[in-house]
Amino acid sequence: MTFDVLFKNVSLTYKKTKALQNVSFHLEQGKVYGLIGRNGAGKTSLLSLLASFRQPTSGTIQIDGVTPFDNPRIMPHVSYIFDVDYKYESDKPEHLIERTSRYRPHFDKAYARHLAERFQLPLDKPVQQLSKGMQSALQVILGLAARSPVTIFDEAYTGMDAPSREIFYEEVLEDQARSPRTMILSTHLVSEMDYLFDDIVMIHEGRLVLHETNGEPMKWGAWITGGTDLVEAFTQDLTQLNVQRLGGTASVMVQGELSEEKQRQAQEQGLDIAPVSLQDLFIHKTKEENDGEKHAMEADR
Amino acid sequence: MKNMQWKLTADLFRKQATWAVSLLAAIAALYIVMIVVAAHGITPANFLTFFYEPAKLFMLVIAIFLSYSFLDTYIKLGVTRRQFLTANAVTAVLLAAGLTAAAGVLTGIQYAAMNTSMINTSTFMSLDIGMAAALPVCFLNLIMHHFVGWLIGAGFHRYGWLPGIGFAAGGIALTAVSDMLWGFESIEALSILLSLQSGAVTGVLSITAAVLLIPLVFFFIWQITRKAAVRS
Repeated sequence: MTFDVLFKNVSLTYKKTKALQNVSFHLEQGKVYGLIGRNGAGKTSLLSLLASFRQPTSGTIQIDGVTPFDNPRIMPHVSYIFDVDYKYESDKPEHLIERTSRYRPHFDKAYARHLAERFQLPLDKPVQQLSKGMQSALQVILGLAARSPVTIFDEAYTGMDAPSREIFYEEVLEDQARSPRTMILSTHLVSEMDYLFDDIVMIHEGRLVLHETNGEPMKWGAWITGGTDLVEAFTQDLTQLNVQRLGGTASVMVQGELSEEKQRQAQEQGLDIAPVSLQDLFIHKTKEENDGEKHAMEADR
Repeated sequence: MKNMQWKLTADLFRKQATWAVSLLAAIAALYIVMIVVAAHGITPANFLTFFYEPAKLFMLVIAIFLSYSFLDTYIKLGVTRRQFLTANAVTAVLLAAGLTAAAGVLTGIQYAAMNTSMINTSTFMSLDIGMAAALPVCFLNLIMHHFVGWLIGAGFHRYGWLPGIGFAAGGIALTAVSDMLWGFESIEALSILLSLQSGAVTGVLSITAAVLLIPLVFFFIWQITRKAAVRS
């Protein structure tokens, strides 16, 4: 089984709200994907389809070449971990670990206990009495220890404090090296998590706006920094995404990869070139889409 | 996959059986107290009759709870809707059989231990039928109540609270129709509504209809559940 994930022209509509519109992508097995989007972009809708929580309104979803919805061959191998409200959960973490291990074929109980120690999670206290951070840690433990071939974390770690999130990130990298799986990390904490991702999938207002390898930031664009006049002249024929000025210095973010000729010119003129961060790209890609839509609406009027 | 189905069925049965044993113990204790304290040794009905109504209510309520909350829990663990449905149906049958058998055994012990003249049998399920006929009827009716509870819970789960109330009303009507078909309880209001006399539809036809209601309700449950979205 390969557990490749395929979305083909997938749309999802809730009553009158279009949550997803014609989304298509392919996820290869064994990679860590960052699913990035603003609040309400459609991340959770997309992931709930992948986890067979619901069916798409139209389009095709396949895992290992078959439709995952209510498929007994696929569903035990897809774990969807999200922020759960545990206020009515009177069971203890050890019971939840035991129950999950009964239904997840690759669950590693020893690893779950190891994680509980790292997160200092008490296993014998009713879950409803745990702090929000500890409840998030429990979710993360269940997701990691399940070792499902398709593992989805949907903002499940946002209730955790910074040191706990750091432990989670370390475990993601270490356990992914030990047991490679298709892991999807949905987040808006882009700058904090970008080093975890092999690939980036970015959605905005229900549409796919980017699907790229995370390792070639210069391909996305660059910051050109130097004297204001020089920078303005250098970037006037490039697509400018952002301009920042401080005294006589300017930084301009330009879209796309700089040609070798341009890079040589920048060096000759004493201009600094720095790669665009994923955070920058996220902010400007989603802003750009909004501006595009705004202009289209104005043109329609 | 078969392994998953077994585990799920065992887990659902274990959970519900624990509650059922508690119910049985509580009803038996109450019955003994009534005989000893209130009725001074004379029983108002035998144990099976006394147990029958609370058992039906129990089956209805646990099924509402199970279908409303457990479906999501198990789908989140990678169980399919079909597996959940199968496990729940098997559990309903096992539970109904277990409760009927336990109540039957306790009633048998009661008859063996007590002077039969002290047991009022005229109210036995409101019909003059013997234990041999009463036990299968009790068994089938308990299954029916579990399925109706399940239908109500499934309606609330899929369509929300307002349509869910409609499902609850429909469920109550279904149990009334079922009871009327068995002819054991007078559903005067419904009979008047339907211009029927209580027990008007009797005999083989009514029993066949009552039995056929069970798979029919199950079919509706499947139609509601098979595409139900999980509330995340």
